[in-house]
Amino acid sequence: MTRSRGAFAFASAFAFACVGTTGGQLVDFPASAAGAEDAATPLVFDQTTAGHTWHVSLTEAKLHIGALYLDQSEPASGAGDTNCILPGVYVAEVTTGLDVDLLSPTPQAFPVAGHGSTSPVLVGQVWLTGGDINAVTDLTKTLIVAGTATDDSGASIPFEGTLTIGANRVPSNQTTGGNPICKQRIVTPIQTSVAVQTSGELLVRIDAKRLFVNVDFGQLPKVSGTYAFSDDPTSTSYTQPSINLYANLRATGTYSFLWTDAH
Amino acid sequence: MRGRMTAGILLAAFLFTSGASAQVDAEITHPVAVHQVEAIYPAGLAPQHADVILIVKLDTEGNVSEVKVETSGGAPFDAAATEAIQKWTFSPATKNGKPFAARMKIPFHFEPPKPAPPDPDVETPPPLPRTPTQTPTQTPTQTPTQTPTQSQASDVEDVHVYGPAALPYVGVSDVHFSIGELFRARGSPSDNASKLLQSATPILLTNEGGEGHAEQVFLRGFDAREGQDIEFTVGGVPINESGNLHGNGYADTHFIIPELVQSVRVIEGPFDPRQGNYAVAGSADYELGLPRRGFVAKYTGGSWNTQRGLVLWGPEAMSDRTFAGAELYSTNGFGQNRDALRGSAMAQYEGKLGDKGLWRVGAQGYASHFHSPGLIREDDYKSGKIGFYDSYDSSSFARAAVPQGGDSSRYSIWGHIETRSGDTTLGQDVWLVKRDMRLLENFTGLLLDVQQPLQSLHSQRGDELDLNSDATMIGAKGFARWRTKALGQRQEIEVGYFARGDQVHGTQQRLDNASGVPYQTDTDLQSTLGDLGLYADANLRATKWLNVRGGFRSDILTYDVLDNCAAQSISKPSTTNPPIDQSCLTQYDAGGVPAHREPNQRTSTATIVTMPRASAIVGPFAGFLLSASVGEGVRSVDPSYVTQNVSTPFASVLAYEGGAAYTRAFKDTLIVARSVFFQTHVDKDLIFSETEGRNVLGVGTTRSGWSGSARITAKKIFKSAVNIDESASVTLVKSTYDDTHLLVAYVPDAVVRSDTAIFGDLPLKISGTAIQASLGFGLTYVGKRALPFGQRSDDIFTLDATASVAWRNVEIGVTGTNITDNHYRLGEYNFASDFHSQPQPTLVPERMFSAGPPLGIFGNLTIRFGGKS
Repeated sequence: MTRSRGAFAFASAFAFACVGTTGGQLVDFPASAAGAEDAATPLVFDQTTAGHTWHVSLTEAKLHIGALYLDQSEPASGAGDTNCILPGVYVAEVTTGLDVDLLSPTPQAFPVAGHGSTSPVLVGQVWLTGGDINAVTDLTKTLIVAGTATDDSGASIPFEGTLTIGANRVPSNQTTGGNPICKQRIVTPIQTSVAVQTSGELLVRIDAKRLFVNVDFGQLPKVSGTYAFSDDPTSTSYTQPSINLYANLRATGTYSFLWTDAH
Repeated sequence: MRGRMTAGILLAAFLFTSGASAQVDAEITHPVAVHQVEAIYPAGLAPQHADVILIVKLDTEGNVSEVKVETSGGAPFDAAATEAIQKWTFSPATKNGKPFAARMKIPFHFEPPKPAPPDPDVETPPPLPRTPTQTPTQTPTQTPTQTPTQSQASDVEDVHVYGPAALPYVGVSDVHFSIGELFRARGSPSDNASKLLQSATPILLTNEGGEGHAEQVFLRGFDAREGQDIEFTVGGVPINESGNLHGNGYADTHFIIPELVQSVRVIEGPFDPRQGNYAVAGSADYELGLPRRGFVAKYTGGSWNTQRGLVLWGPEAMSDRTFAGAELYSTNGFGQNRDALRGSAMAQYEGKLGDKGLWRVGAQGYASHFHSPGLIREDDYKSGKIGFYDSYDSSSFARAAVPQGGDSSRYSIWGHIETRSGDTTLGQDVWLVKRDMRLLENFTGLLLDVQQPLQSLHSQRGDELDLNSDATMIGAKGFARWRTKALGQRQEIEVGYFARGDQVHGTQQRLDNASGVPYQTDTDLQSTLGDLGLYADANLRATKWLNVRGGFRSDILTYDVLDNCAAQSISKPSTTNPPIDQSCLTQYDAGGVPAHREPNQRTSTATIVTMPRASAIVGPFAGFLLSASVGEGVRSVDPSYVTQNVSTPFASVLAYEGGAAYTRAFKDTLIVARSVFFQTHVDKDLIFSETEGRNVLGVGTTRSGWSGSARITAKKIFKSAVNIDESASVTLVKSTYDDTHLLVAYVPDAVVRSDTAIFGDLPLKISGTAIQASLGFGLTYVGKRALPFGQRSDDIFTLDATASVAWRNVEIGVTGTNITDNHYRLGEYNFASDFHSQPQPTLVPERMFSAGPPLGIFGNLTIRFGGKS
């Protein structure tokens, strides 16, 4: 009896010591990317710019995502520039790349699971890079689009475009590091209220239609018999459509983060 | 040897007087002590008197069959008396010529040292055997009517031996642990003085910084990091380094040659008024000595090309505290980037000071150069990108031009003088310590060096910290202890002082991974730090079994800190003259206008803190001792936290505990056990910061828990030549933050340690000399530790073993560490790091670990000349 009491007391003390938590949880989770829910091949939609409506039939839209990050706070908008990476604010990450077919609404899985904690998330980041986020040279085709735009007058503009973010996007004022190339590649802050959980998956949807907001297909230059978006900001052909396509690529409204049940 | 040992004892033995009526019909022959061994005054205790009365049962052959403590003088004295009495032999008691089992009452009186060390040419004679006429009466247990009625003192015999002043017993958390065979049972050449603590008290030691880096110590739920929450001393000389940037109070014990540690005194909690700065979880004092005299040469070699050479010398005719020793050590380590070189030398001389005192001087030197692997990400290990025992510094994706590791050196001299004048004992210590340290550590890889808007364009250059601390410490302390008698009991009052000054230059820079060149200065501090304290301690006895003791300690802590890198950012920099790539800036924002400033700035402050401490020790039952203690303590803050005139540059601690100790001997077996419940609150705890590479000040925390330990020493098991020494300890603790009540991360809530030594003579003789053999086992279990983000670490289980045989002057042995070859994670963490092992930066917290050593096999050869133990 005495022995059992002693064992019970010891077990109680042991149990007392070994309970509790430090709070939160670290989890590994699957992650996917997809086009918008209404995505299809071809994706047909109307795009109106300055009162001129284009009927767009998008037959190809591929995006290379280098990484995804979810942050627990927004970068402070103080007097100085913010850094590309803010250690301490990250809640979850997917660090391997994926080529996403934006014309498919079906989630396309990243090759390696994401990792993160169950802390609340305020903003998301999409990294459009094929390698080191700070490397000037990157020949990765970040965005590939192709399709046809027509208007009510019957004009038809078959278009294509391939965008990269490398030496062609180095800002002119980069000498002091105030606007490094990484700023061009990181799409942030994407407002979200995703809660990373122990089950389910992270899904980022990219709405291909929003890539063409305010794109005036009528101003696309014709090169070698086709209309092409320019990837060279120094070129004379780098006009309104190319400027806006690149701006839309980096616009936070193009992307949305969701937490879904695992499929 | 015993005659020269540590203390003066006054022995008197007497038996119970039988009832007169019982004596009428029987002719009783009293047992006579035919062989006596003096009780050894517990080493390391300050001068004090103590009385222990033992009830000893003799069998019909006159052997001691059972010992109980009737009146306790405190656990150390109870144990010393009990250990001694087991070595006594008696002629059996007889009644009408027939032997019978008898019971005796034997008091021991412990007296602090009087004169200086004895003349080495004069061996102290052992006490004379009692003659029947000198022997008081007895109580034969076989005769119910012969119950004890009174006691009567016999002739009193003084045996004077000498030793240092002993410190008063504080309570059941005051553990005085002699090393002896238990350390031999550990036996690893990489063992150090910190690991001796594992045998004394349940602690966890981890080390991700390499073999020259201080051990990370977890005691009573405190992540003492590199010892900041434990006041470490060696022979009374402070080890904690005030002003060390890596951790204020950093305590590197590698300079101590473990074979020269005679005992360790650990006081868990801040309950002794003598305890000063850093005694948050408690204090640990290493008592140096070399009980086994003569010349010893030892070579150890084994796994990972580990080699260690050791020489020790203890002149036979001198005090145990007169010795010299030196060691050289080298190893390639058990994985990448773990090599180490070390040399250490220690010497001390103790002499007599007239006929009532002693003096002691010593010196030591130590230097090491070592590398460390750093931490490994769990996901990289699981994906095969890096091996369990590898280092990122040697990897293809995060190779470092200057791998992690460091250099460490310590040189010191010390002196001690002690004497008695009337009923007052006086003591004085002085010391001078020169200490240098360099640590190269990288916890986060290539994460923190983000592109700043005002910097030249760069990629991640790496987060490797190059931390240096050059320190000089000078100090002194002294005491006066007055003893008198009141209420029929001995009363003591002690007052003392402590003075310590430190000059420290600490720098921390960050190195470029690729080139090893420093690219940024984080910190550059020149500090002059002072700690002057006084204390008073009263040790009062209302009765023989009630001891109330306590007092206060009051310290003034002073800081004078010159920050050579005081300005590191500008909120509104000039666009025409931006401070590109400058670490210590010479501009500041004067209302939106950039203005010049010098990069340095001096701050100073001082404060006085008073810490009351008290204990009640109750021992009305034979063998049992109950105690309750309460005390306050402090830990001074890092100089980097000091701002001008800040009023409280320290963290305060409030601790309570209550527990029981038990001492009992059965013939050749001694059992000492204790059980303590404790609670400790700290208002500003230290929390590990991976970005700083050290612990930083956090919020308040509370630890509650239980600690228990037992030591069993059994000699001549079953009348054989086999002796066993077993020590086991357990700590269970819960550590929580005061604000959120969440667990404090990294603290182990269950630590179990067991050390076993089996030793004795083999039934085998060569040339008439028996072969001595020993076996040892050391077991460690650490429960799953709480990690950030609700995680739990793996538990740890390791088993070490050693075996040795000795014949005459030669001993050979073999030691196995982690003999089950567990792949275990010694330290585990959760934080963000990026070692470029994945395509994109890893910015989210991930499990990191430092690998514990795998199976290691070491052989050793020891040759002794002269001397005896």
